[in-house]
Amino acid sequence: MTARLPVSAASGLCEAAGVGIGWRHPHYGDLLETLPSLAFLEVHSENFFGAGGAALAVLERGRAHYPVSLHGVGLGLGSVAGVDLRHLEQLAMLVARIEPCLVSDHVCFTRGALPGQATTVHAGDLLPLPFSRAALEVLCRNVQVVQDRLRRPLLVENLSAYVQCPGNEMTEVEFLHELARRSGCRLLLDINNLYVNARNAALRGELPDPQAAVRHTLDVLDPTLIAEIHLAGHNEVHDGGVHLVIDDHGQRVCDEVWALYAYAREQLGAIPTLIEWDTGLPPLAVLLDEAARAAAMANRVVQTA
Amino acid sequence: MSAQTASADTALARWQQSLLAALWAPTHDEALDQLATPGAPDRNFMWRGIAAYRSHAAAQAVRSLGAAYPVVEYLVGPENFEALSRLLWRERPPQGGDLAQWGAALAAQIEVLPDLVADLPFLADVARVEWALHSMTTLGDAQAEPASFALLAQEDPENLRLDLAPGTACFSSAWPVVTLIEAQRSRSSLQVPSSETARVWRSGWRPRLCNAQPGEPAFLRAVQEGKSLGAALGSAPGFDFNAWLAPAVQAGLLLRVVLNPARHA
Repeated sequence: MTARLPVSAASGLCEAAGVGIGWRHPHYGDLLETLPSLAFLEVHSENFFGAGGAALAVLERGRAHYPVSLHGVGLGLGSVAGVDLRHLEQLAMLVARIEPCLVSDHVCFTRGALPGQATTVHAGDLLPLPFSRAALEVLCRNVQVVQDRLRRPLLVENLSAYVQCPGNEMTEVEFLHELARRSGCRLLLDINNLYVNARNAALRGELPDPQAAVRHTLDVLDPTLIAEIHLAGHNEVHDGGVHLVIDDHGQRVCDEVWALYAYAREQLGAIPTLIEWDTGLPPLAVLLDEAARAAAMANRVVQTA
Repeated sequence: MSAQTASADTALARWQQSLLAALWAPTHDEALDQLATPGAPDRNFMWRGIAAYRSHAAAQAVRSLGAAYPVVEYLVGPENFEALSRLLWRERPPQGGDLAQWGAALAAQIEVLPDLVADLPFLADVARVEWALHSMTTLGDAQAEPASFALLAQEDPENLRLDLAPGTACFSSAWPVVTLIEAQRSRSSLQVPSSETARVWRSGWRPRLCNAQPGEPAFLRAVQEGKSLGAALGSAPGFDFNAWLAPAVQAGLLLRVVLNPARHA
């Protein structure tokens, strides 16, 4: 077995505060052949569930060369129905096998019963929660279940939401801070998600300047709670006279989000950063180009600090 | 729990159930009725947001099912496959967050669609075999032990047990399912039905498919039930073990021969 790079699981922090990329199926071969310089790889945990097979073998080969972050989309940490324990067991098996540098999922719900039915369904999507005390209780309870099973801190990512939830009782930042402080989890800050939500709020006429709104969020976030940053592209759709910005992970990071990332680095310091790309994947070289841009910005901040 | 907390929990549960109901509503308008008050100022944005979630769910359904059923998709065509995927998502929703595990019920869903059965009577059988090929990809890995095959010449078959490759199974069909899957033939070339029994297994990491030999399904079933080689041969009259053995080893179907612990206890 090839020796692995060491990682510290106990802190929930990635030791290398550099830049990584989301590693998806079309790039498995290219990356293993070229082994580009990257601080870490991030994969979707669910794509590697199971006891064996080719995909898991490829991940283990990648793990021999890079720290690996496991990013989940299926736990549904905000689900009133609770966490699916079979799903959690699959994740625990994968964590034991891969020894990831980070394990993360989202501030969302995914599962519950449809009206009049007893069976719990899974939406296959990240569905929004109100920033309410009740949602906080559910999140803290479920995050605790996951952390107890995995015996390590979880990272929890802020969401892009396309419908407005009723019953907000605090701001998103207050909500995330409270979640991290009460559960001991860390935060995965997706700057693109903040910007997408701000753009949609602006389209609804709720705020005048999306970039200023995100900068304000970055000003008030507690840097000590943030363990990773995500950067991705988004898309604007028009339908029936209504515009909506969708976090499709199918484009390069836009200039406004790059500017916000530069601002975040100044406010928050050195934090592991990921370039995410999930739909319409370009050649690996494009992702590496985006990662190099993020790394160059990080270096500039370090040099001027 | 205080009355106030219970009430907040109930409101959160109600919100989650309403959004799920909106995603599974038959039409966009019915979906919107789950969440928005008619005439409310944000109705247009709510409509667009729900539409985004609903179209994402539909895309997930097609993507997940397409990964498992490429031959079914080829046989029905992309538009019909999209409709079939949406129908399965609505009628038999995912129950877990690993969407690669969703879709096992496609064959059963096809069988309750009389027009599809009349048009493509072999489709449910093709779906059953494709699901077996898909679901074996994440089973635990197993290595062959060639040295153990010498036991076949040394021991009484009643004292031996066979270990088979992950995912080994047989599917009997009134239709040429193996030929269909291997060739992805067009409907026009399949007007004359001919029965085939598919044998599926995983060789290394690769799902494999071939025609089963006469008597092989009964033989493999007995082996997988843990019966001795002698007993398995007894349950499969007409099965030619000698003709089966060398190809089974070469194809990675037979992994090892072990002394039956029940006999050697």
